[in-house]
Amino acid sequence: MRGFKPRPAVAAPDRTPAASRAYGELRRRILHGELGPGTILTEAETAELLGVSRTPLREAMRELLNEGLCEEGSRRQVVVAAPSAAVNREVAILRRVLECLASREAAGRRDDSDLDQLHLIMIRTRRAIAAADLNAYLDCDDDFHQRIARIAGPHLIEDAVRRLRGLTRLAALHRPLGEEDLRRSADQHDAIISALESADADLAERAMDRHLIASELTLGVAPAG
Amino acid sequence: MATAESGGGPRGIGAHRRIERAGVGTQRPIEAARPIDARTAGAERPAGAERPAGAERPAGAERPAGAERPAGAERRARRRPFGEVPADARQYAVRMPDGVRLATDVYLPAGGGRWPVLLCRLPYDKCGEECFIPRIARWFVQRGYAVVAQDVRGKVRSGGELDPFTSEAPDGYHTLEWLVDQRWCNGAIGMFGDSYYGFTQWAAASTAHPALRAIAPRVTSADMGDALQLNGVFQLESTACWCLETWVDEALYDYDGELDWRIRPLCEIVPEVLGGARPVGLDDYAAGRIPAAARVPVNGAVPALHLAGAFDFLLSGQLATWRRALAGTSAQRGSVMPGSAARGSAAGGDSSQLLLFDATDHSWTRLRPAGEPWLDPAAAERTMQAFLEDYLGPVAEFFDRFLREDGDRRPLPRVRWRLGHGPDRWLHSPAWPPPESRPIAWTLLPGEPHGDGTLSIRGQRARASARIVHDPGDPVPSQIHPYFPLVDPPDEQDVHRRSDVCSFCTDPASEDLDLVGPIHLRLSLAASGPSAHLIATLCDVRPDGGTQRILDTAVLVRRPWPQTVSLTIGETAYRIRAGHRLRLVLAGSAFPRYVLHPGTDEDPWTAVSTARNELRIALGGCDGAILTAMCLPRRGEARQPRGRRIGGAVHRAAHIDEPAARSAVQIGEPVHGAAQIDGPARGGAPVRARSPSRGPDAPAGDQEPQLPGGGRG
Repeated sequence: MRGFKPRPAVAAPDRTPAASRAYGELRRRILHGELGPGTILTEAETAELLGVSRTPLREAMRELLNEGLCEEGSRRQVVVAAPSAAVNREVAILRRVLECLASREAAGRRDDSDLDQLHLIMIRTRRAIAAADLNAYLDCDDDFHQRIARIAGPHLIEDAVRRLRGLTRLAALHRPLGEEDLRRSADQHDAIISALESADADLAERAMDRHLIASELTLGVAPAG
Repeated sequence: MATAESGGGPRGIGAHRRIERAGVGTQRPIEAARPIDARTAGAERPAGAERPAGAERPAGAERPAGAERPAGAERRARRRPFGEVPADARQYAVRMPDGVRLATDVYLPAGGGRWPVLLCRLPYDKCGEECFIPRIARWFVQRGYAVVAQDVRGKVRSGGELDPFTSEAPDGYHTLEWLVDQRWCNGAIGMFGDSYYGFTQWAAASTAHPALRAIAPRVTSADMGDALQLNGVFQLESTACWCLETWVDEALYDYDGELDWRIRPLCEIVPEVLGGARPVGLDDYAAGRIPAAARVPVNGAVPALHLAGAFDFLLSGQLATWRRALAGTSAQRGSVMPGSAARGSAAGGDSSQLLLFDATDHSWTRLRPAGEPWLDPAAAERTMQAFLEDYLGPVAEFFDRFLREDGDRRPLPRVRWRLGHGPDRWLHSPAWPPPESRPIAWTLLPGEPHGDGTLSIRGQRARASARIVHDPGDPVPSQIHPYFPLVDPPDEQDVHRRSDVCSFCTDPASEDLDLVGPIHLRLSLAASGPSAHLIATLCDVRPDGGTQRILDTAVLVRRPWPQTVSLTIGETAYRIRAGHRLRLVLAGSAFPRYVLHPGTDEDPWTAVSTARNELRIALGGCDGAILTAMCLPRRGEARQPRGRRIGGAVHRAAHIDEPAARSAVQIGEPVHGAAQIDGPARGGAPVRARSPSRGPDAPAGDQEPQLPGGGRG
């Protein structure tokens, strides 16, 4: 019963470099569908939107181009990407290879805190489903897959999975996802956690594989036609 | 409805995309965010719900932001983002026996090994800025403690349903069970925290888990009932704000300035900013349905440092908790958890139940001289560090004794206290109120029309009465902040000039008058309605007229009239400095601090029709109103020391074990027949007013001896 702050909190100065801030915010807006595929990101408007100057903004845009979330439009503008079916197919193939092995690896490396963090992500996931908040759900989904990748390898593996997750979310942006799909997916996540808990690498790999195949079908990005 | 709620646009917390429900078309408009209880949501708001004229807070007393909101603008509680889990916290999801997992952060000293553990269980976000647990954790980690912070069930990152009070005992117990199994835990566990996360300590202590060796509850009570309902009066503002902030869903809500107190019935004020959702518990608390789990048995076998504030709205409950702990009520109550071993009584209740009574409010903001601005300690690193030393220093000193094998074994003073506007240091005494204190009684006497009445140390035989007309359409505004009265203390003198307020004032003090302990009011009340609220406020009036609240309370009184009302306004440690005056203010409302009496038989929470209610208070004569306060003897009167500075370890140890030395209590100024009506009148032997409460040392039924002659005479 502490109540509330007597005054609005003195906002702590944000010491994140402007470029990372711009990158993070721009990426969030793209993945949440606030800046839809095809949106032209002019430097002047975007800089004002994010409250950063142009130099860090250019750096952020370069990173997003590199990640595939933006592409170069005609006249060299930066445009929010609309990944083609061919790109989505490749994303699906790479994710299967990468994440199944990451899951296998994580089964041997995880500790209690790692498992508990996955459990905490699932608490948020189920609340997002109950609140019918798709973006919050997908944020949790990102966290879940990236957390397993980090257990497997916090440098290259996590980074590679994160890049692919960005493209997966662009593909998911306009898919009709029903509550049933999301519940099924959450149950598959729980199965992956159980497999990691048992420290059985084969089981962990299979659980991830089953989950990814099911997601591909839901998202319509299954590589084998 | 007064709000613009009908649109289909994005609501609440950001525009989130909606998941398609099975069998529902794609573009379903976004609906109200999860109505928790639709019992009265959407109920027609009655006409005449506008804020009555005069209910505006006087100039300078506005709430921050939002007061000047343009008409028709949507009011909305804002969902606060969760604090980020700091990099030095190791995250766990501790599993309760029912499968619910509680989000738990662990902060460890460097270098491995086993440590005494300090646990904190709170609903306000273990990583949030509001309670700055990560900073507290680092402060203790530097001193060789492992610190564990947990979101309670249903809150923030923890799973499960919202469940205020009910689960705190078992969840505390099972978290302690988890802790003793951790390789970094040496088996000695303490708990710390304020307010609700002080209550969670009493809840855990009630299970008598053998690993819980000490607790340091601050600004809290083992009985939260008083915090919600005070003498039958619902504490509207603090409870409404608390439930809105805390018990809507897993998130915390900011709402400063958002609540529209003009809305009637009162039960719709909070749902209005939540799109109709009703916080868990609020309607029950308003109706006086306090869950049994909000009152936990006090386990006095667990050593405790009781950190109390003289300006904290939970003070009475906290002092009652301390007294119950001293009395060792745990022995009879036993454990609520099966299979837990009861702790032996070796800890010795009264040398391990320590009271630290500071001149602070609920946020541990200390009393300042009038006009000195509040400085937010969090505004700068240096001030925050100084605040942490002050806030946590006594707690570390206590835990060092009770949780460490190698800790200092010298006992701490049983009562440390600070006198508001007195010397800037701790005083200490073996009991509360200090044994040398003695009661002074004042008779309430009528004054000139529209002027102050008198608080007189002389009685009066002539009978008179004071009249208050309570108009629910024009309530007396409460100006102080419900939680943080010392952050920006308002000057209340304008309110005291209202015609529906009766005030009574002493003469300017010729020398410092130190109020130390309970302050009691006894009066005879009659009303024209079936029942009435009486609000009693005690104030310090400066020579320039500036008026600051010291204490207040409310009571519901029902017919038959007249009723004798015997009321403890509260306890304090406060100096009325020379030249200042003590003022008692009586009114029929203090809104929105206390729920508004409708003047009728209706439930105040749902009432829409109201009536004026005329209150009469008898003054003078045998049933005249009397105010009694425990005070320190004035200079030259005291045989007892007024308290000693902390630091003299030799004195300190000796002081603790001193008996209360009650026989040395001096009678001060004669109280001429004021407190006891039958006392000899006219310059006969003075009669001592009976102490309203004498603290734990007073044997039951103890009567003050009536010493012959005056103390000084």
